[in-house]
Amino acid sequence: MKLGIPTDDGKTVSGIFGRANSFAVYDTDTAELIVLANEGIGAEHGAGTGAASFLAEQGVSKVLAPELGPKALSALSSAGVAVARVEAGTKILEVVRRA
Amino acid sequence: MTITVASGKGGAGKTSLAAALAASVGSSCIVADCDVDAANGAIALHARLRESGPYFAGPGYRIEPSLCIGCGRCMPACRFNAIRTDKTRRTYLIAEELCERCGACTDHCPVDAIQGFTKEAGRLSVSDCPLGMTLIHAELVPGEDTSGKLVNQVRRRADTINPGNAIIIVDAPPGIGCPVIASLSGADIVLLVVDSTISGLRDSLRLSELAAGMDKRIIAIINKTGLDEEIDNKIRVAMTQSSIPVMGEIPFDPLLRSVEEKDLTWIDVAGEAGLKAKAAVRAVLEYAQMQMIY
Repeated sequence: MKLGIPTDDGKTVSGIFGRANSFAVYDTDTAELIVLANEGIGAEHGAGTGAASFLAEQGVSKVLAPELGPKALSALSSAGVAVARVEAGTKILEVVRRA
Repeated sequence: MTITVASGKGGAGKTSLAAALAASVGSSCIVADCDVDAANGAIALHARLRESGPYFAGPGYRIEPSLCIGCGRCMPACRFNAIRTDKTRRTYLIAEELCERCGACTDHCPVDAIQGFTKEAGRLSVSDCPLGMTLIHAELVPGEDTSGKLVNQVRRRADTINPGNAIIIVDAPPGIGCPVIASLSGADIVLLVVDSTISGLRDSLRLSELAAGMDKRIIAIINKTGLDEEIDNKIRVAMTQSSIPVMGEIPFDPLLRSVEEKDLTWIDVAGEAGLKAKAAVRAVLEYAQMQMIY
């Protein structure tokens, strides 16, 4: 299963979702962790839904974030992606270790 | 610690209250004016411009006439009917005011005649206030609608300036759309300013629904009370039913408005309204202090 986590510095969880600098994608089966740039960061509108669809396309089945906007939440749920809360500033490695 | 002042409704007193809050906190606080469509934090705080830079929106799209072969495939691709023929030249053009910048047309052009461009859509500025606080503010060029992204940039600039433990006060725009969501994200406390009117109540409940969906701690101040006892009571009941603690009520008083014409904020007003504003602001800051400890 793949987990998606918003991150600004590639190391810790970002406080925001749709306009985070990048997303850490962790594969629990292979223990592979990659950080992908968020190309939707400059979107005028719909950064949250854009991020949701980007992560769904990456095969992410669970998003771990401190908070999500209403549109991002409904986009994730319609894509069948689960959501769990983690605190902003937590180390990504810590988050995936606990997952 | 970030406190976002929001109301759902325009004219509820968000900016005035944000200025009063900032004045109470003093020189260490940072104010982020996120009402980028009609920024007036600089007026309320009598700020002096320190630095200002361009804000680029985009991309917008235009059809290069010398490349367009007039096939017309772009036209049905546009769901906003923004593409029209230019009959004389047998080419097509994009009406900028109708274009939603989705870029769908670019996928359908066989000769890559449709090109993206960025343009200066506003300015992002940092200003100094006489009371010592720093104000981050931005202004969109009239007609531009790219505010969620700009709000995000204002917020990020405020976070960059923050030495670590400052209180950031975010003045949110009215409504519950994209720029408001960008104003709420990352906030530790949402201060709901409820205008004591029927629409004020409706809009504040919509806003609180949005904020609650984002797991926010919501507190409220009821503004302009004493005009209609029945509505005042309705709002008190609604806040209780929504489990939103009310930090204070500020009665309607033309004196409050008049202070902003001088270099003052609501906490400087003499009389009942001023005292109540001061007490409400203090209650908010005490609440924030408690959240920081626990």
